[in-house]
Amino acid sequence: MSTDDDVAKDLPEGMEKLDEGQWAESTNPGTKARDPLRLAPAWRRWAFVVVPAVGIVELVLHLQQTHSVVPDRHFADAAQSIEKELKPDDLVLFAPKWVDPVGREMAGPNIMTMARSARPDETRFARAFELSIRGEHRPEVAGWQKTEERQFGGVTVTVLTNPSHAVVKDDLVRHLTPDQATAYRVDLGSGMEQPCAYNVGPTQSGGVYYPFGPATPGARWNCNGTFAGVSVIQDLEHDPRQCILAPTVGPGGALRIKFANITFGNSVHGHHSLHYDSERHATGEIVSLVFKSGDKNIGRAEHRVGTGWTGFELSTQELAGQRGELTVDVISRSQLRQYCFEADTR
Amino acid sequence: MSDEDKKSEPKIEAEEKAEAKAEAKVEEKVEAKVEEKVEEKVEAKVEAKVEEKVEEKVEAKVEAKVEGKAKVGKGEKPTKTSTSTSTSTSTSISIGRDDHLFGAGLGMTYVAWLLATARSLGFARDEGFYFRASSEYARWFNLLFEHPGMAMEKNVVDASWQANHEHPALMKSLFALSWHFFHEKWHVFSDASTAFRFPGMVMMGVAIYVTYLFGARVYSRRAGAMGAILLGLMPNVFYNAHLACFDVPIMAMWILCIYTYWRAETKGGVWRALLCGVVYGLTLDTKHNAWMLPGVFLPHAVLVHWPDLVAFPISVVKWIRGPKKVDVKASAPPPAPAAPAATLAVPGSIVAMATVGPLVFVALWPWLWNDTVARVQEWFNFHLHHEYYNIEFLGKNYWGPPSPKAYAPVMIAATVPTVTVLLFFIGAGDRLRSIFRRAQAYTARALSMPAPKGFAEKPDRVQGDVLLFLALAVPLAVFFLPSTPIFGGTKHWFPAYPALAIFAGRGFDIIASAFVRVTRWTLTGKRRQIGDALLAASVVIAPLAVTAHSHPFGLSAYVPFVGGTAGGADLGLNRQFWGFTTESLAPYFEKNAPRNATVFIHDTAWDSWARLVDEGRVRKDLRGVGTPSEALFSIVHHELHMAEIDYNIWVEYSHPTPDYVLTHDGVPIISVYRRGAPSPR
Repeated sequence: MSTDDDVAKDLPEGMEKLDEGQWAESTNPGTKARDPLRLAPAWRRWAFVVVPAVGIVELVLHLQQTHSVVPDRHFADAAQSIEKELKPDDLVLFAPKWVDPVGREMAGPNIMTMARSARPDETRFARAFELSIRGEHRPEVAGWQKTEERQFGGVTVTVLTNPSHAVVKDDLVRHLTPDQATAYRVDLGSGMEQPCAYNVGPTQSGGVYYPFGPATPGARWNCNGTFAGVSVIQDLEHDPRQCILAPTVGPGGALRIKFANITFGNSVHGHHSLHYDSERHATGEIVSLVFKSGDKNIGRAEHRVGTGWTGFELSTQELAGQRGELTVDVISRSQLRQYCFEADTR
Repeated sequence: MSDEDKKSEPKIEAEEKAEAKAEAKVEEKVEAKVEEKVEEKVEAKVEAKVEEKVEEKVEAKVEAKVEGKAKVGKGEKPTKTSTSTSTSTSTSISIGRDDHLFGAGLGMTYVAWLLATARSLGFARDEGFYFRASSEYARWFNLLFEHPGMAMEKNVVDASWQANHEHPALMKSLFALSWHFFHEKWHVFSDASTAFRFPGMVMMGVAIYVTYLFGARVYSRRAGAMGAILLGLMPNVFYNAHLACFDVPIMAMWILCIYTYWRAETKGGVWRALLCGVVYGLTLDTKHNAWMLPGVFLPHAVLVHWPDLVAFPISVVKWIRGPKKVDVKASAPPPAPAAPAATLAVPGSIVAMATVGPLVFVALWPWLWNDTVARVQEWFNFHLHHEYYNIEFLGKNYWGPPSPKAYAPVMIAATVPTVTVLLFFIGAGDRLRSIFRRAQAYTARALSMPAPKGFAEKPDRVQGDVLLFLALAVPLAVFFLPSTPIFGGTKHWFPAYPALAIFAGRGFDIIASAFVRVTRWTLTGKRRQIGDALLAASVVIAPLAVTAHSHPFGLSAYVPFVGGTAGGADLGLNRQFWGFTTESLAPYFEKNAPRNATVFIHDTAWDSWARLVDEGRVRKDLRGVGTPSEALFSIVHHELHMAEIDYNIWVEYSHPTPDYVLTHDGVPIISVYRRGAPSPR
């Protein structure tokens, strides 16, 4: 490419000086014009080839990228292949993460249950089926052991086993049904419990303007200014988390949920968070979850605003193997914070 | 003679012959080499001589001009024109009718492409608002045509122009007039939306036309043509050029205003200066980006006119002080200082922009006809305290300032075709180098040192270069300020793109010349034409393919070197905004939606949805609703911060599986959920 400094080089390339101070294109390649690069090394004379080469490579890449899109049916085929061998504690996930909607569409609701799609974490799953394209993998299962790999067109099914699988005995989110749970609004001063009414009505979900807020579930306990019901919130990484939405009562009060017939294990394992916007702005008071079984205090998990979807683990070794009632109090000095928690016994 | 001798005789003869032949060959080769070397040396010497002479002549001319200027300073009549008109004329090529036809032809071809693809592109959120505002304005224009007196009444003006008064009126007025004439009256466009959009498309044509003219005048026709073509072949620009919005119009007006100023600077004349003022007024009336244009003109004017700007106050001071006191024994009294020039040497174009510009601006925006100061203040305040639009960048959602510093560079690299960016770097690098050499030469002259080796001053194209660099840098510079919000991605620095494209055109000029040099002996006639065409195709075809393929998902498209649409998704770059992709669901609804089905329209603006229905772009019986709770079908435009809507719908419909996912190159754009079980597949 031209680098010469003389006058003509300061003119537009391919130009020569004409009369009246005008420039026009030099169109006669046969003219014996000055050629500053004539003595330049070959690489310099031919360096310009990089540009058309980049143009051609760009075109080839474009054609390759637009013609190698994995058809949706490959996801459907891969999903169909795993459906029969799928157990309740198997995880199904798609890589890269952005292809998740296509994966869920093709796998259908039998495979992509809410428990899998909006899981609290991966510890409860013994095995994972990762349906991936473009050689991508999900970081959530990075440490898991690969046991099998199958190919369905452009989709790779990788079967992985969880090296630290925890068996869930009871899941409070699944347990929040009228026959297995009751909810109360509690005056912490007097200890008086005001029962909440269980209703099934229309869900109230976000509209067209941001922030939408989590959906208020149609099936819920209405508790005189607050409620408890199963919803899905987004964590700070915008991932879905299914949990019990229990807006806080405020100073001097608590929302109490009693879960009957819970099978205890060695611990209560759970997560909690406030609504995404509250977490993002990190304002407001701590929200506490107090776990009890009968008169026995199990422990307290505190959620600090701004930490997002955080986990907790409380020991229940003394209760391991027993069945009984588990009481959870949601307490905060802030009123009506959109607080959501989930927990299981394991 | 022995037998042996007899045998050896022909052998010796042959050897001798071979030796002679070899000698002759050596001689021949030596001769050729000597010739070649001589020619090289002669050429080098000739070149050096030419350089020397050119330098001498240029020096002489420069001196003559400096003298001429000095005469002007002394109040004598300049031999040519004023300083602002003298320096750059010789650098611009002669642009004639054919050039205007060519540039306009390129622009019109592009507008035709936009018109041909307009029907398949849904309506962006803001378009809905502008459709509504333009309809209001159209009613006022109707009144103006029929009862002008009534239209001018204060309350009528205010009522009609209140709609969307946070943005100036020029484009919305054009949308309104286009709709009135091309749709309502003359039925040129069957879709009202196409009539609304048409002025925006024409503005893209104007941008291409001006880019050609500017590039052709500053560098070459080839640079101008390539720049204009490459400007149109950017997926983001192509998408935005369809819209009844202001981002492409302000890009067109930005470069038009700078071009008009440059012409006024290089050619001079009152009319050109006045035209500059008018165009600046129109630019102000297009979008508030025009506030930044002084950042282009003022530094440029100072650079070009600083000798006059400095000379004026000095001459005033000298004139006030009167003649210097000198030794009375001196033979002759010193001359009295010349009277200062009657006017300060501020370019007329800038004066016109500061005076005529605001007048045009107010004249064409009826909302400002009443309570002008308060309303102008309101307009400023709205944009200075504009709410922050969040956006995803590298997998993170940014909710407020400061914008990440890498945002603009990364987004340009990821959305402007790579070959265009490469050509830009070649062209801009070449011009930067020229500016640097010029500065070096100037410094050397100021220090009375010889100019840099091989450098010869020449008629000054550096002014055009600097102007184009300012045209490029000013719109981008804002995005490096800590308080600037991201807003809506690349469209906010579109005004930088014509200059970027012109430099890319200059880059192409350079590689095309290099190509000519290495093939001058091998490619002639038709083969030369084919070679040139192939070279041009090699840099145009990829941007063309990428741009054409991006439609109607222009904002989801990323260049092949970052992996295309999927690569953009991998990198966590924004996939869309303003819900314009809804129309692409029409075939799904056609097939799957029962009659009068309700659809939660998510990020689609109500006005945009209404127009989609009105124009039959989606089925007319479908009813848009505002929450998933009311809807049989709910759609989610995939943007990172919209994820919560997805999860709301899961709760609402009790399952997390979409019934359909609209994709572009395999990347989800919209998910559609259906109440109850998803359709069997």
